[in-house]
Amino acid sequence: MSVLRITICLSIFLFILWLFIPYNSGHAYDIEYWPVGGSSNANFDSAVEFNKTSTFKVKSTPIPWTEHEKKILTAILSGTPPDIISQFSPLKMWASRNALIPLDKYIQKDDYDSTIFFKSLWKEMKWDGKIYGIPINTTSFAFFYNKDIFDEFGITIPPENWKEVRKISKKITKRNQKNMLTQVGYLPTYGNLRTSNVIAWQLGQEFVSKDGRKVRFNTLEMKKSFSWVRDYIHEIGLNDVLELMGTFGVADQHGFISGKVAMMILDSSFPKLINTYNPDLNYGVINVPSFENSESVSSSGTWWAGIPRNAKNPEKAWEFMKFLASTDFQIEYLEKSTESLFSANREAAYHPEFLVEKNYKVFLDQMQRSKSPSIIPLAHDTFWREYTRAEERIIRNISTMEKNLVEAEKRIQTELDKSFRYYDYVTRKLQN
Amino acid sequence: MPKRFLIFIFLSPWIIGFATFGIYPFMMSLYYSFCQYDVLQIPMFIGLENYKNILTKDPYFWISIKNTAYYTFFRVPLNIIGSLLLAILLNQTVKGIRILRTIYFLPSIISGVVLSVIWMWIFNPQIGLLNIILGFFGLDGPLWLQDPQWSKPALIIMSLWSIGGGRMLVFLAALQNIPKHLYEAFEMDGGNIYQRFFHITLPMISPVIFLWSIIEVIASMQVFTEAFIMTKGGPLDSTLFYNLYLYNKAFEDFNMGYASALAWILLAITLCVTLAQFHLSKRYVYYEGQK
Repeated sequence: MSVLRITICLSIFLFILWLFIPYNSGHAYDIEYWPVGGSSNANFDSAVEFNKTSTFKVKSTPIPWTEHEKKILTAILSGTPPDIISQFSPLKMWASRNALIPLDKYIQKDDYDSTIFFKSLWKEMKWDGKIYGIPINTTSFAFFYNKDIFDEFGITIPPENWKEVRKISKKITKRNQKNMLTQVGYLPTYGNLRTSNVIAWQLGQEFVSKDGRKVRFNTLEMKKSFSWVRDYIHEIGLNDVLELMGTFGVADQHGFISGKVAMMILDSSFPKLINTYNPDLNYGVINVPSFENSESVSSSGTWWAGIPRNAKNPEKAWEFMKFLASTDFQIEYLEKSTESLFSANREAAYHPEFLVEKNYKVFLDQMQRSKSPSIIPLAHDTFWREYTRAEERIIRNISTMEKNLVEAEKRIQTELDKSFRYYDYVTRKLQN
Repeated sequence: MPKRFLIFIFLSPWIIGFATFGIYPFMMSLYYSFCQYDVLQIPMFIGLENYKNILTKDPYFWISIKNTAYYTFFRVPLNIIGSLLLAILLNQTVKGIRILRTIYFLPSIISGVVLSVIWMWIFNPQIGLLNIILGFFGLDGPLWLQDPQWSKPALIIMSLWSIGGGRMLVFLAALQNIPKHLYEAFEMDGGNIYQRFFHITLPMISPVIFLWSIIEVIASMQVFTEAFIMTKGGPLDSTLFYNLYLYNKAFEDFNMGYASALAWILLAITLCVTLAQFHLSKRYVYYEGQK
């Protein structure tokens, strides 16, 4: 065999061998943290602050918001996850799939005080009797209204209940010469927090049984709630509403920021957004209106930090997580960061320095009345898809209310049953 | 060293790559289609349950099949006819024809995501370009992407954006490869341009039309980006295409087993459709040199 042939064969063999050599980048840090990147102006790096006083180094690698869940999922599946992840999607979705390490042993070892957190947020960190994460930040929803539009129509008192919202909305709706909507009072299907959801909660709707296994969707509360939304939209005109909503976008094209929608339920990040894109907007923030005689109810999502399974340094990761959630760091974070989030740490959130900020107290108050958007963790996406479908069909008068609710409940229940069957199977296998 | 062994050595990088990234995932997805599997934990074998549920209990499967079939049925012929007509127009020997060909080709290089965002604004019912143009003719434009009746036609119209792309270039090449003597003989026999098109041009480029019909049907059955960016399957599931439904099941619901079963059903359907096209091609495809 010629020398050339031998050389070629050897080269191919060595190349194949090289593919299997593990990569070692020679890290200059001990643990890696993947926060989900928010605003590009965020100028406060938690890892840099931690590294100033710590005996070990943390590297922070922000990942983009878009498809961040898929990126984290891929990292966990590949067996090379970061040591800490930060997420907004419900923790239970990850905990129930054994994607995270339980933190109970670390909490017990350090006698960690969880009372520093808002109760509703700490509750979100639990799954099947164990703790899987620490809440870091949160958002709070409140009711925004455009004061200039109110003044234009002589409305001096903002609405306290949905009846008043409807009455005010009728008054301040504007159309152009082609009878197209140019300004509307309120749109119940626009925004991250659905009005039907809020009303249902205010009426006492419980979407799932106490053991989390039985779905309750075809209820009187949901019928009342969807009916209100449907009737409201038809009063304005469904096609007109759809046409107007088609013109909305982000930033200065947002419906409320652009002045096209006079009232909206928005989260606590919006004062900063309004200041950025329309600083002249004169607005007020109040509690979310109530339905009939109920109390105001809001919602809050949680940015939490957790340790993915197969993380290489869980003990050090825990130390960094405690730092992230600590009162001192949270206060400093809220002072310096351009991210417009709320602290999940009550002591930081109630710091006197922040209480003087306009509207801050309203958001704090709403935090106490918040419900979690993670309603059915094991069928989270199915629940919200069926919810949206049912609402859309009801608004468009497709089939009857009862049929839509029954079908949605059935499909969510089917998915939930399958998820629990699988969860029980995996739990048994792991115990064996 | 035996020659056979040497051949194998030289092919080994490709074989290893194909086995690792092709055959292995292929076979594993077949296995997972018989399991309940959320990717993060061990699979639970459930036999044919996924297939049974898909075919008998899942209304969204049939909705997605119907939507995809509708989209494919209209998109494929419109795109092929559009590209062919454009190729015929650009198959001229006039000054500046190369620049014109470039101009017509340029829209096809815009990426799917960017295109989707642009067309969302074009289809805007209040301020979109399309409805403004219709307004000039005294017509009331529909709600397009907000209307279940018009959402699929909107996406089909959007797909015509790329008729000047690679497909048109291939047709152009095929047209230029038609022997001139056929047209000369036809002219001598006194045929008109329509007869020339149907009796000379079309048969001579029929293999290329056949090729593109297969490619376009397969591509249409895998439509995803437009629905994912622009409509998320709405309104009222009118743009819930098969691939989008598969994606939702796999990556939103963490139901990889079910999604794998959907993928295999799609493969079976695509195979059947392609075989049917091959069978039908015997009637209309003319290959030079065949008896």
